[in-house]
Amino acid sequence: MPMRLESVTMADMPASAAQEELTELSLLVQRAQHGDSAAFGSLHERFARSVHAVLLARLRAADADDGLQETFVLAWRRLASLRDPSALGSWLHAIARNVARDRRRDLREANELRPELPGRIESSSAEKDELRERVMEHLRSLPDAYKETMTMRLVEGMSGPEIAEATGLTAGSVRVNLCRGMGLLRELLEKEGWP
Amino acid sequence: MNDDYLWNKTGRDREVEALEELLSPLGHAARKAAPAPVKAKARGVWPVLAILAAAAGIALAFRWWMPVTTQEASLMIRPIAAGQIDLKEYGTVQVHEGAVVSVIRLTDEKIHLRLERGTIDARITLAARPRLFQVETPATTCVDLGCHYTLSVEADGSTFVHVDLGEVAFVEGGRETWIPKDASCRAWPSRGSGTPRWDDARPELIAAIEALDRAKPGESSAAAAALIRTCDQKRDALSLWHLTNESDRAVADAAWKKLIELIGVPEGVDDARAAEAAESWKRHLESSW
Repeated sequence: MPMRLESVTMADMPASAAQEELTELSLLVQRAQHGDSAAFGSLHERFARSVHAVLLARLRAADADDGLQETFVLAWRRLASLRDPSALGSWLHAIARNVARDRRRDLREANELRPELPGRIESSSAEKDELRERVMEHLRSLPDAYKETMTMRLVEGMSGPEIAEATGLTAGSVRVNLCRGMGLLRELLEKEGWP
Repeated sequence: MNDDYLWNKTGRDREVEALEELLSPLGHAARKAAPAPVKAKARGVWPVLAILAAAAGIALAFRWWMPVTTQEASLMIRPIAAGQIDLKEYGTVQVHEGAVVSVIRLTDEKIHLRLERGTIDARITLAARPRLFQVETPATTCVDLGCHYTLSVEADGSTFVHVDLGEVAFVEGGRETWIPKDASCRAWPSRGSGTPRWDDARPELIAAIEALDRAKPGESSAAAAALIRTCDQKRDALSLWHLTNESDRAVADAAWKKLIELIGVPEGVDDARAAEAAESWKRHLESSW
């Protein structure tokens, strides 16, 4: 029976379990490379949060949503070129960074790099929407390594071990990125009088 | 400071928890789950979504779909097999056997498909405003300007459109190729759009167009010049109009000259080459054939 990564992550697992998980991921990738769209759907489910975070660390939310689709459409079309299935996460994130870069360029040309407009999160007040966007702008201003990790953690709700698994980074690197990123974010927020 | 909560969510860290609470609505799971706002527009695309959902039997051939959300509406990226996509008041898309089509976007602003290979027949009604319906291919994006057309993609990504009614445009970046009723055009992944021509174009004109469209780098200016020389009837203005956008200034100049020789300048247009004159030119071209 295939393991589910939502509850158990490779960073938490003993080496043999991690190896089994890697093999399962490799099998899914190989199936998808042979046109198995159900396998690709599983990969989408597994990596959507981290890919979304990579996009959201660079784009406003509505554009990140569109970028997520574009990233997976591109991935589906280019999947045959992925030689190391275990590198799927970092490969998807690289595509997402390119998608975000292209979208930012297009938006800049169209002068649409405006702050996120409230409206989607209907239960929130306008003040909360504004605060949320201000915090996101601070997150986006962090160095790449920190802003992606921090967005995965604070926005997507991924734990450190889950981030390590999705990105291919070591658990130690992720922990450092989180601590340093949080430190920088805290400094920025304190300047704004964050409680 | 203890960073256990930041690392693996054990223990407590009120600051991190407050940030999580504030930011989590922007996360993928929250945006996917949140209901899209109901829009007050009379011609929403929600019926389209319902129709597509009902067409799940078609999608079973691929056993895969991904619902995603945006600020406007739920989206689906879903390969669909042969069958008909009912766009309600906006028309229908007939997907031929063997075609690989994905629904990329369904919003009030855009109905966006991707045709990877194979053929579709799009029957878009006048209820759809121009540019609402777009089909991306490996070579170009076919933008509906209010029409019926057949779009085919070969295994190498080359794309062919034939327009039965109305008009479409092939769009690549800022370049747009206009293809009206009873005309057709090809596009290639590496080169983008070729030259539009009438279905009943003269053999010598077809040969000149094909020579230009297949010209190697360095040979295209000569091929374009040969095509311009071949254009000597008012209906040839369709292909000439396309050449006025050539990056080679000499080719564009020659195309403008020949175009004006054949059909004159639209009434009320002072600067024939001005971008603002494009629509006047289209109407003028339509009235000349």
